[in-house]
Amino acid sequence: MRNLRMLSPELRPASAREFPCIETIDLGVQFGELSVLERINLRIAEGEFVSLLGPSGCGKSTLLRVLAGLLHASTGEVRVQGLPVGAAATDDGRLGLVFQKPLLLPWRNTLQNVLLPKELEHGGNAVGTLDRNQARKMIGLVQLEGFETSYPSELSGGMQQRVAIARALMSNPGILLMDEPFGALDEITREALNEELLRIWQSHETRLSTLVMVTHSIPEAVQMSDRIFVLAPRPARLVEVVDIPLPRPRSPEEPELARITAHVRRLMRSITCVA
Amino acid sequence: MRRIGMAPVAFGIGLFAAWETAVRLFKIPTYLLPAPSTILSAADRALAGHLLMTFSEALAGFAIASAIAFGAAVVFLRSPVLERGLFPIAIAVKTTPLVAIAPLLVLWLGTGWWSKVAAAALICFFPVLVNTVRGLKAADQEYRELFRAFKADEWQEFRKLRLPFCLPYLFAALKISSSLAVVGAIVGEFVGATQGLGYLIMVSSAHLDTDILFSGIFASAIAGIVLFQAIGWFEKRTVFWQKGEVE
Repeated sequence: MRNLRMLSPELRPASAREFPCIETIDLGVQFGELSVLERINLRIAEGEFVSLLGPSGCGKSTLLRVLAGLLHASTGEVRVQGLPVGAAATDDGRLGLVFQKPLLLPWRNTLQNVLLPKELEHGGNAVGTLDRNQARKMIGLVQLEGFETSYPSELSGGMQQRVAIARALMSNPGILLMDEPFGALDEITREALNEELLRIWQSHETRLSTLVMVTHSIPEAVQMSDRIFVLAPRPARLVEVVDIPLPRPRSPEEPELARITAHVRRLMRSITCVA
Repeated sequence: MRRIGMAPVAFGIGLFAAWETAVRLFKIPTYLLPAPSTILSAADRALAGHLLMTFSEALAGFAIASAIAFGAAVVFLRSPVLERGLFPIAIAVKTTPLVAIAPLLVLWLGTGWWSKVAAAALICFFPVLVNTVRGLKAADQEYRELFRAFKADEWQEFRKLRLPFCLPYLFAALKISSSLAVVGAIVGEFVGATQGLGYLIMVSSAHLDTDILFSGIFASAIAGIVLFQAIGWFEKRTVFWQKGEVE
């Protein structure tokens, strides 16, 4: 399964494509009278890196929350591996979640923060040696060795978000949902963390295979993803799916990448003008 | 840092020295303003007994009120109906001056220890209630979503999220109440008592024993400061991650 993402979609065995990893069918969300999402149909294959791109406040975060099972769909449905959210058939269907803010608990050091999901899973305060080792491994994966006993106030914004990623990977999810994970960081830190994210996604130390990232940055979406779902605002609806069949790492100077970037930019401008 | 730490001590000593000098220089009669040295010599074992009595009343009232207020805040968190219904009553009790209620407490509970404890408790209750209610809701919606994503149950959310987020608010309230507790106990003693700093202050002022009166005032200040500092000591060790103050 792991190598699936290395193959192009056409070469993947039919069985894996039969049930999309994540699928939404005519998904709609209303907050009272206000329609936030309208008839969203997504099909995300296992091993894919997809971006949900749209202008700020277009409802893409709401969409991610529905995918995560934190919000219920008003109409339509969400399926993970062909089943409702939370009822995943295999471990590969388990979800990890990274928010825009790191959301670390300020009274816990790095190790304790990363162990939080395990504590909540087992109940009580007891975590085993196995969990501790797993936590140290994840802290290593996000390159924070040596900061195990540091408190969030002693870490930079980028480091805090690394801790949040390590924490999300603790349950060894097959799918990682990220809501503008680096949106609050400066440009340089953001680029570094994007590279890190690709490295983690491609590394074999986790089960992580499918990645869904909400972003409003066109370069970020084009650099990172296999496909971009472009969303128009109020209510959010899917306007186009942009394929980026280019190998990574990608250089912005590449003509094909520049062409796609220009296309997405035009697309975004037309959406934003309407809004 | 150490220099700044010594500043209050230096200013305190300076103030008392100026006071002592002024009283001697202008020959101010003792019944108007006794010199610090005269006040100090009036501090005897009897004063210590009165101080201990008031301190124990304040401490007991403070502890009981804090426990009940915390419990009420937790109940309010779970039941918005109770919060909406009972909060106005709590405000009504708070806005009624303690001096107006104190005679009733003495009537119900007698002139002994318990009526003062009740007076202290009554004045401590509200700040702890209000701040704890606020503190238990201080964790952002996003943190609660995070806990929900990790499938935390309600008890885990309370224990590992709401409670730690509440602690700075709780300690801010405990600091306010700790000094109010002494006020409550003394007001209780004013109404009817045979012991305690409130009793000492009433009796000595009636007899124009102003030096004893002052010793009582200082002793009550000490009682408040000791309580306040003790809470501050616990706060530093418990809420180690909080840099700024929460009001």
